[in-house]
Amino acid sequence: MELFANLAQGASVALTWSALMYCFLGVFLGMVVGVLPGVGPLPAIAMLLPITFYIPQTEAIIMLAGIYYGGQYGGSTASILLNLPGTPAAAVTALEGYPMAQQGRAGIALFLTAIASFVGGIFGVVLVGGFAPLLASFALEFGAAEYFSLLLLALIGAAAIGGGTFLRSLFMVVLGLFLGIVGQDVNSGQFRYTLGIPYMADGLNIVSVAMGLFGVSEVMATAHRHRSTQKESFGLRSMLPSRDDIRRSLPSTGRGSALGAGCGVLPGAGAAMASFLAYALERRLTKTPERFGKGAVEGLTAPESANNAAAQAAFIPSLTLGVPGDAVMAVMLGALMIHGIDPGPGLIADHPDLFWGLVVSFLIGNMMLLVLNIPLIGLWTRLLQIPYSVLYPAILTLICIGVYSINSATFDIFVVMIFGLIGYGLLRLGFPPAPLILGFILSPMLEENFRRALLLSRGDWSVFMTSPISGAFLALSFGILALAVAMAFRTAVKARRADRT
Amino acid sequence: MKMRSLKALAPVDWISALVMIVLGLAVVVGALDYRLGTAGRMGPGFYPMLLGGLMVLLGMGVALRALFGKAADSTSEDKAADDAREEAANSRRSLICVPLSIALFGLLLQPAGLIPACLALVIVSTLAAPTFSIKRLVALCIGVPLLVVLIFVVGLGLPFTLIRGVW
Repeated sequence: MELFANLAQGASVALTWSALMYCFLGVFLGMVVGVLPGVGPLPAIAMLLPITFYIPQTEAIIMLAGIYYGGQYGGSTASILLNLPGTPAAAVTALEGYPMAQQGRAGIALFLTAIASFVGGIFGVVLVGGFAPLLASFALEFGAAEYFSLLLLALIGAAAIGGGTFLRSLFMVVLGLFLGIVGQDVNSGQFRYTLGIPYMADGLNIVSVAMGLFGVSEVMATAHRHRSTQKESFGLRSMLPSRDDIRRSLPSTGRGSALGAGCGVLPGAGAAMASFLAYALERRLTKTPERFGKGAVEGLTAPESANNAAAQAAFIPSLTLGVPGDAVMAVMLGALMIHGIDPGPGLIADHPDLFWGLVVSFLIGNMMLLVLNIPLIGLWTRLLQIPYSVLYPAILTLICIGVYSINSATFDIFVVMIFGLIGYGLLRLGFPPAPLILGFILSPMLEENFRRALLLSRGDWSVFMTSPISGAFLALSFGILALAVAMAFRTAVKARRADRT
Repeated sequence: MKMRSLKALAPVDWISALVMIVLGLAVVVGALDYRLGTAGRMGPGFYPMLLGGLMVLLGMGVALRALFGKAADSTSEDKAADDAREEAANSRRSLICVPLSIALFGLLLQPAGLIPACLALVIVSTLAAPTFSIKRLVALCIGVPLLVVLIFVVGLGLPFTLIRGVW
């Protein structure tokens, strides 16, 4: 069995003491930042980036990946206890989790989400191990035209689910594409949009752009607000679900895992979309829709298993195609590239120890998270009592130092500041920041394949339609576009009708 | 009814459209400086020209919708507008303090060292908080630099000057 040989190879990488330690560090910090509302995984990545320059590549990636999926576990805690989602995906968890907490069933909700997260996570990991090599060998066949259309699909998909209105999300994608080409053009050597600043010759740094847009602008928008916190404590006994809870949770966890894993594989989709869909599905399938919104456990376990399955499965398109599903994954891919690893179809073949080590570390990391989650629930609730006015100066400091450490350039700190201001302005005007980051990281790839495809076809634009794979991706993209326009039109008509009556 | 038509007039859409079109035009003007080439042999200006054009088109789309569609699916815009009104007064402080604190950090880091830079960042950014507490400020001024030095200098051995001329 090839798979077992591969897993054995992965185990030899992931089961060393240092790999275990960095895996633990990653998932622990991911959990911490996931729990804290308004913090998110980016400051944790910023904090750990400097560490990654001093340890071997594989350990570095295991650790960064741990932050990513650890954050999904932690995100549910604040949603359930305070109705304050730590991550976008966890907003759905609050729909049923918070009512459960109000009924005094917070312990059970936390317990069930931990289990559902674990099941979803493991399901996603299995899919990564089984499916990623297949997709990679399929993607090896891709030429420039196919890649271009795939990237287009990912970008349009990201705009469609990006929040905000579709035109604005789409604009953010294009703005990101533009920011992504700042610097020296690889084909001609021409400097583009560098404003005569020598630091810009290598382009803007994705970590600085993302920290500014998400981290700093979030602090600017919330620093002056009061955050209320409350005291809660749990004994292990109050966390045990009843037999009825378990009976209801089992099928929904299974459905959520499968749906989430499916969403994770799609480029441009992510954990947030997975939880929304899983919740919608449960509501449609249930025989007792009146229980939803009042603490229905199915509506809790399905999205939780879905977002964790998606967080794991998201590594499939990210590692084998180089196409990330959401903004945090885009920053992680940026971090990988800083380490000289190019995600793409060749990654598994070129670095099998890295890929399989990562897969095994996912399994271990999920087990660590399960162990961290339940017995330490007291610690997580205490973490929620730290006031934001103490947290945000520390967050800002970590962001600044993390960004500086990449190139030891103060210029990057000013880039963070400027993008913080830009992000704040865009937020005020209703532009969602996530699509920008995706456009930013995919832009060089998009331009390269766009140019190459048309060069090979001698300027014949039909090349994107005549290849069946490329044509299929394009058709899907147009489908999403048409759907988004139709939905926007429908709401507009509805609003007008409501206006008239 | 009355409320809705008032909201449709909210300047958020117009400002957005203006920002989008101006940015798009700037990108197009920038692209004029670079060789365009043809589709089969693209120069460095071809792709940014397309992007800039797309940005202008999207901006015009938002402007058209603001003109005809009455506040279509504008939940986020309404929210943004409401937030803006509600917070305009007390958010001005964080709008100034947070970027200023980062700028000070950047300016002080190399000439003065890591600890002065951290202190400046902490002190200025703390002014954005809803309440001021001297106890919290002192705790942060001791805690944050200590944490940072422990993680990055002691733990990772990053080559930072702690205080220029002293360490």
